[in-house]
Amino acid sequence: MTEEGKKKKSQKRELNAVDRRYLKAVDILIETNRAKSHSEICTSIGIDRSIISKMRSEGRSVTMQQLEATITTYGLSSEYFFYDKKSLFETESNSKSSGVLTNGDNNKVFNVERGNIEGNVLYEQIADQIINEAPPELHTKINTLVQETSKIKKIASDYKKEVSILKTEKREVEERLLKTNEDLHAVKDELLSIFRSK
Amino acid sequence: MKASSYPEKNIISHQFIKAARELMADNMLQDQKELCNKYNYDKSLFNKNAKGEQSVPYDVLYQFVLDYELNPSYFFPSKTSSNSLYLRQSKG
Repeated sequence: MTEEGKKKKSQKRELNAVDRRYLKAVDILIETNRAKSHSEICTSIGIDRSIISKMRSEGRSVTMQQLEATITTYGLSSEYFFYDKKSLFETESNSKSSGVLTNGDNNKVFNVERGNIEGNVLYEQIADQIINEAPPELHTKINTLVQETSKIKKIASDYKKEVSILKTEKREVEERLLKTNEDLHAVKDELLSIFRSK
Repeated sequence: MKASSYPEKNIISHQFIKAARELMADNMLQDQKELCNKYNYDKSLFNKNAKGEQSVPYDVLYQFVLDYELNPSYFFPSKTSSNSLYLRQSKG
């Protein structure tokens, strides 16, 4: 690698204001025991574990989606990332609401305590949230559906086992057929040679 | 395009477009062209944001929020903070 190339590679991009505040925020999350490590924060918002260290070492930027996931997951104040002298944490008084809020269009926006908008964890939480918020009369139906689903899963699993056994049997029959076919060919050849010799 | 048909994961871009429209309605912004010129932002990207095909870059959003003294919670909806567009309620 040329000197220029090495220099270019080692050059660290300067962090923007949002990135700097983001790094400060993750440190605060750890200091206040809201998270154990950078790695845990990354995992909880569904991003690569090394992103935060890459931000520090390479000047990599946080994306808006990652920022949003962090804000939502840890209940942070978005103002902190844009304006000076703003608190990182939102007021505690309201932090125990249902976790479902609406945006300007009254669309539901799910607040994920752990996991993020891109993470699979979200779907299970959303499902739980929907079930919890469903009217009581729907709970029986939901329970029936859950039971039916597990029954169907059991049946599907039994069928899979059965198919596997049948496949093994089929293979054995095919092998036997092949052997019989070879024997018949041998008999045919023997008969032909007898006829020819006469 | 109706805002409600926007994909949930592009909520930030969605809100960005909505904010731009609100600013235009409040005569804070003349038109989309002014916004694109101000932030050196390609008009086609703006249209992609509007369709939910592309996310708004953080530097554009950051400057946009600061320039018009907007409420960040508008773009990152939260359960505790106000979802009004302006940081200060003196507008309108």
